[in-house]
Amino acid sequence: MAVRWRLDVRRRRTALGYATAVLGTGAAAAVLLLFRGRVDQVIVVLAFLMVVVTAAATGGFAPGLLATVLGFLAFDVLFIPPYRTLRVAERDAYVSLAAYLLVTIVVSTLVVAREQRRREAERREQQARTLYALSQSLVAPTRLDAALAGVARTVRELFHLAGCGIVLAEPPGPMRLAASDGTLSAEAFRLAEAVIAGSAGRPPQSPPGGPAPGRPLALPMQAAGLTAGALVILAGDAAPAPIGEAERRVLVTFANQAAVVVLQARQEQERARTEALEATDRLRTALLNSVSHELRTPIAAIKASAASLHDQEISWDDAQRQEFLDTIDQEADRLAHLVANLLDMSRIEAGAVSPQLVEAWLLEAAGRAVRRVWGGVEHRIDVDVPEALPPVLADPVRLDQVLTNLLDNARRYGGDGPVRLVGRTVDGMVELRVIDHGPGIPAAEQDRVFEQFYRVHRPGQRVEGTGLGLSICRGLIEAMHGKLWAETAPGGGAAFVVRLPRADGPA
Amino acid sequence: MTSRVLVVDDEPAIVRTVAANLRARGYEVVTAMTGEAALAAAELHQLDCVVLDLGLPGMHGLEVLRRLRTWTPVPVVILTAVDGERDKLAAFDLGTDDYVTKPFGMAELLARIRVAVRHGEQAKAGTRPHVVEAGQVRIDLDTGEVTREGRLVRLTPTEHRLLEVLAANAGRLCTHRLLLERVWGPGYGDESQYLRVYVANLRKKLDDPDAPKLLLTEPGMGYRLVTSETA
Repeated sequence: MAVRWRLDVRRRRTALGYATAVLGTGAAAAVLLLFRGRVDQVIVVLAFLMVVVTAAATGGFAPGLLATVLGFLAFDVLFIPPYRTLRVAERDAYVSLAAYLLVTIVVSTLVVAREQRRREAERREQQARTLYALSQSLVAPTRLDAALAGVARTVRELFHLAGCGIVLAEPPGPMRLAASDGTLSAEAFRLAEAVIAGSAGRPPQSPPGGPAPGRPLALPMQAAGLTAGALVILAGDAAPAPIGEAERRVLVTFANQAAVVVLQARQEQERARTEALEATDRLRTALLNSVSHELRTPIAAIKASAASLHDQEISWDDAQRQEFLDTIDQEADRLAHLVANLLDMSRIEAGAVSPQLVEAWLLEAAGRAVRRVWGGVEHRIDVDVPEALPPVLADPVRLDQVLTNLLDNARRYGGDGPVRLVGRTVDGMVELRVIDHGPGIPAAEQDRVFEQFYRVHRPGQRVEGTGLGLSICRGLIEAMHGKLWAETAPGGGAAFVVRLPRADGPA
Repeated sequence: MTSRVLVVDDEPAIVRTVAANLRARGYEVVTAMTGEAALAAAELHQLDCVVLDLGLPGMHGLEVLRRLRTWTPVPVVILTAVDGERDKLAAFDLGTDDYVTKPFGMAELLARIRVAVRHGEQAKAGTRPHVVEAGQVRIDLDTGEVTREGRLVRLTPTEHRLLEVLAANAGRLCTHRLLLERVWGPGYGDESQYLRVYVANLRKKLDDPDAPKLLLTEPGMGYRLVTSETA
C-alpha cells in the first residue's frame, strides 16, 4: 500500500510542480505589475526566483525549468522596458536577465538535487519498511506453507495485485503451488515454471520493466546459488499504474529472502528426517543386539557343556556329566521358548495373528493358568470375581498364554504374598486384574515393561526370561480387540489389567 | 602353584560349565553373578585371571573392568555375547587382555585364559620375556637386537619402539589407541594413519607384506604380533 501511495504522490507532485510554475509565475507577475516601475528589478528577480525554487522543490527539474523560462519571459516582457516585447533597451537589463537565468538554473538544480536525495532516502526507508513488513510475515509462522501464504497475501496487498502465488521447485518431484492469494491465471503458472526451469543455476537476472495490467510477472526465488521456486504476480486491472522498477526491485529482494526461508525450512526437514532415521536405526540395532544376546547365551551354554562332555583329556564324574546334560537340556528348552516367542513377536508385528474369537470365561482361563504356573505347589490365590461375570470374546489358547505369562510374572517378581485376581465389567468390557504383593513397577516404567527386551532392573536380582513376554501379551490382547496395561496396586504391588470385549455385548 | 580364576557371568549355566572345566584342569575357581559381587571377590581373593561377561545386570562389565583397572593389573578375559566393534574396542582401551565371543569353543577359552595367566605371572614377577620369537624373527627386548633368519634387521627408532610395544604384548591385541599413545605419546591417539605407515614398514622388514603371518591386522581395532608360543 505504502509503495503505491508513494508512486501516486510522486506523480501528483510533478503535476503540482508544473501548476506552481505556471500559476506562481502568473500570480507573481500580476502582483508585481501593480507596482511596476516602483519596485527594484532585484525584487522582481527574487519573486520569480522564489517561484522557480518552489516549482523545482515541488515537482523536480522540469517544472523548475518551466518556471525559469516563464519567469524569464515575464521578466523580460513585462518588467524590462520597452514593455510587451522581448527586446531590451538598456545594456544593464541584459545583465539582469543573464543573472536571473544563471541564479535560477543554479538554484533550481541545487534544490532538485537536494530534493532527489531526500526522496531517495525516503524511498529507501520505504523499501526497508516494506521489506520489514514482508519479512515479518515470513518470520512469524513456523510452518513453511503458512509462512509462504503470509508472503503471498502481504505482497498482494502491498502492491494492489490481482493475485500473488509462490511456486516451489521440489526436485525430484514436480513443481508445486505452495501458496497463493487472489486469482492467478494458468499463464501465470506456466511463466513461473519457465522462470524456475530457465533460471536454475544462473544468477538472478532482472530485466527492467513490468507487466501490463492483467499480465503475470514471475521472479525467480534464489538463494545460495539455488532456485527454490518463483514468486508470480498478476497485476490487477484496477491498479492505477503498472509495476515499475522500484517495485520490481522490492519484489526481487523479497523473492530471494523467501528463497532463503524455503531453503532453511528444507534443511530443517532434512535434519528432522535424518534424526528420525537415526533414532529408528538405533532402536533396531538395540533390538538386534538384544535378540543376538538372548540367542547366543543359551547356545553358548549348550556348546560349552557339549564340548566339555566331548573332552577326552578330562574324565568327569557321573554327577558332573549329569550336570552338563541337564544344562544342555534346560538351555535347549530355553532356546526353543525364545524362538517361539520371537516367532510370536514377528507374527504380531506383521499383523499376522488371527485369533479365533469365541465365547470364553476369564475366571476359568485364569484357573487353568494358576494350575499351570504353580503346578502342585501350594500358593494362596485370592479370587474376587463376581459369579455373574459375563463371558468375553477371545481366543482361548491365546488367552491362556497371556494369563499364564501374567501369573508367571506374579510368581517370579510378586514376592511371597498371595496373588489377587479381581474381575468386573466396565464400559461394555470385562476386566481382570492380576495383583501381586511384590515391590511393584515404578510408574515411569509401567509402559516401558511392554517394550521388547525391556526389563525392570532390581539390584541383586537376576534377570530371567526373554524380555518379550509382556510385549507379546499386549500384542495378543490387542489382536483380540482388548487392552492390557500395568498399574500400581493400592498395597504397592504390581497390577496387570486385562480388558476384553464382552461376548454378549454390542459388537 | 594353583592359579585362581574369577568367573563373572549372570548365566548360571555358563558359570557352572566354565568353572567345572577350569577346576578339572587344576585351577581354583571363584564365581560371581553381578559386577558388584565381582569387584568384592577381586578385593577378597588373590586372583590370577578374571573371566568377565559384559552384559551383567546392574553394573555393566565395562564399568567393572574400569574399576578393576584403577587398582589391579590382573589379566582380564572378556567373555560376552556382545560382539559389537565398539564394545570390543572399549574393552581393549580399558585394558582387557583378551576378548572371546559367545558362543565360544571351550578349548579356545581355556587357551586364552592360560596365556592371560602366564602374562600376569610374568608381569607380577617382573620377569617379562627377554626374547620374543615370532617365526623366523627374534626380538631381544634387552639388547634391542632384531634378527630375521639370523641376520640383523635395521629398524628406525620409531619402528623399533612400535615393535617393542607389540612384542611386550605378544599374542594380545594392541588397539590403535594403545600403540599410538605408547609410541608417539598422549595426544596422538587418533592418528591411526601413522600406524599404517610404520606397520607396513615393519612388515616389509620382518614379514610377508602381501600375506602377513606375524603382524596381523584386526580390522578396525588394532594389531597383534603372533609369536611362536601364542600362535
